[in-house]
Amino acid sequence: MSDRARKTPDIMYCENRFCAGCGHALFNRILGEVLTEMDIISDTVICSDIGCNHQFQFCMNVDTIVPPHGKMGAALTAMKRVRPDKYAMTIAGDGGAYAIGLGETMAAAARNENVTFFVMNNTVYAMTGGQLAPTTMIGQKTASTPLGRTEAANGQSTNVFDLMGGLDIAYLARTTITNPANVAKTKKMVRKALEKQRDGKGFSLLEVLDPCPTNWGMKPADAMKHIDEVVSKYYPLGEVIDK
Amino acid sequence: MEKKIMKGNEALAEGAVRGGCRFYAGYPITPQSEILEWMAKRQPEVDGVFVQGESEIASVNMTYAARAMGARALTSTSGPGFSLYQEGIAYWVSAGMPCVVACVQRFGIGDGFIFAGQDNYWQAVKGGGNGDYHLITLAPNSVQECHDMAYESFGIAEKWMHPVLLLSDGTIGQMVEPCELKPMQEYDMDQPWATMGVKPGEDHKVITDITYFEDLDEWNEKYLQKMRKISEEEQRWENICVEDADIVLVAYGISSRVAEGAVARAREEGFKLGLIRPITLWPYPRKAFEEIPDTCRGVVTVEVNMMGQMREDVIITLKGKFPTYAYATRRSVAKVDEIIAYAKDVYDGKVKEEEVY
Repeated sequence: MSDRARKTPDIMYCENRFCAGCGHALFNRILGEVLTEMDIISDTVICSDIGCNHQFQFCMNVDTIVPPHGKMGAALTAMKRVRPDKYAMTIAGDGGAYAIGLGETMAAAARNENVTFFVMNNTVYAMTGGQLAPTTMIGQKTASTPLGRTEAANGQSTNVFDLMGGLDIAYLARTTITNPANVAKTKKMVRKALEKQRDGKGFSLLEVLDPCPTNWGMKPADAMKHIDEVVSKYYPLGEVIDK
Repeated sequence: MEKKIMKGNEALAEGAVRGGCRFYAGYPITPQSEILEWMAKRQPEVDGVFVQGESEIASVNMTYAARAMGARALTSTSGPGFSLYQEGIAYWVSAGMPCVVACVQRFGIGDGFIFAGQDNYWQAVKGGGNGDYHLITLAPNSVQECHDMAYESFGIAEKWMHPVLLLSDGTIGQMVEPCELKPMQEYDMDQPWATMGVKPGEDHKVITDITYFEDLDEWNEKYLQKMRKISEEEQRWENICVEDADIVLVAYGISSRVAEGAVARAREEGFKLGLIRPITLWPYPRKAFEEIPDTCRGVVTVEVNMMGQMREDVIITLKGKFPTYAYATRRSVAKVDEIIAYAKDVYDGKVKEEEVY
């Protein structure tokens, strides 16, 4: 068992392109392992967001559709309805899922579409250089909030638990990948989200707090510590809907 | 052959269904909502998928994803919605997705009005989204053509792996005429380019800007050759009495129906009027204009808009060989006698050739 877990699954066909210490690489590996272990790669189509997250397509051998930035809720709806026997999921950014694509994300959830969102929350727009995201925390400095986010200027931070907590959906949870125990937990939650889809239970969303050392101006290990000590206090981990 | 009395919009929707369309997404907007309503009823009957999107932006991207999964997919809208579609359509082009969109034009800028117009022409044929592209644009001028063009649109789109636009208008969409219905056609969704999941030993497919996985310069070259080939091979038009015309009208859609009447009436009076009816708006039917005799005194577009949008393509085509005019009737569809009177004024040298806006 432990040997198999250490071996990179074949679905990861080359080195990833992410910055050192980036959480996306870790998450993609986790997803690759789950798809392999569930033996559903040949029934999986991933809808990409546009941002750092979309680089999975250059290292994962999985069929992919890339709609405009943020429009995954709409695209997944169509994908699943056209081919209900396939798994439809997205690896999204927090800006894509909660800002430019908020309407499409919420509409898909409100319809309880049988699709899965994995949302990578690193509290910034990473690919464009670390600007304010909906998930940027109050007080957090970013490239477009040089003095720190304020409620007056930028509004409250977006917490997906508040947005979707009252919806009749299958699964809503938050996790992180800061240490081996959390990685193992995340892997279980990824599998659970996909099993909800397999069982036709409806919409599932798993948010992953992930580090962006490049835009946070931190060393990779410090960025992990920052999630454990600060970000995961601001955005609590756990499962709030599990039907 | 099955024959029905129906609206242009209904005929278009039924043409798509019979042409193998098994996915439709759209958002209600006048004057095209009959397409959406027809699909809501028909798609379940043919084991297809109907989704009323939460917005035009959602609908255009649903259409893209459905097409990427292999289904023949249609969406439809009118002016304001067509503006919202432009980003999504540019993605269709960059990914080479053979989607079909219908735009039933209404008059006005921004929100505009719900009655017919032909002022989406520039947006329809000159690109609309970012980047170098035109959509293959078919312009029906009858209920029958709404049906026939929707029916064959998927085949054209797939032949070139390039989107097709059906550019109708509020009058063509709302008017009722007899329509011969095409036979039902089935389509295999399991296309070699569609995303369905990677089979063991295969490479994955990524439906995205094609150049992310191909050499940019090589692809650009191939794309240009394709667009040139489309612009040569897909031109369609109908010429009526052009070979000896003293004045040639150019009109598509509802304006061409009136212009046709004007040609017939003028000929009865001994005034040699002709009509070029572009059936494709891109590629623009340049070949149609070769038939104009050297003795022609002027070429006049007839359009339901303010600025005579199509006249620019006539100027580009004629390269100064004949003076050009636009009988742009703003919010109203032209009348036969008004067209004849304007054409006579052109013939008599009473109308000044204007600069384009």
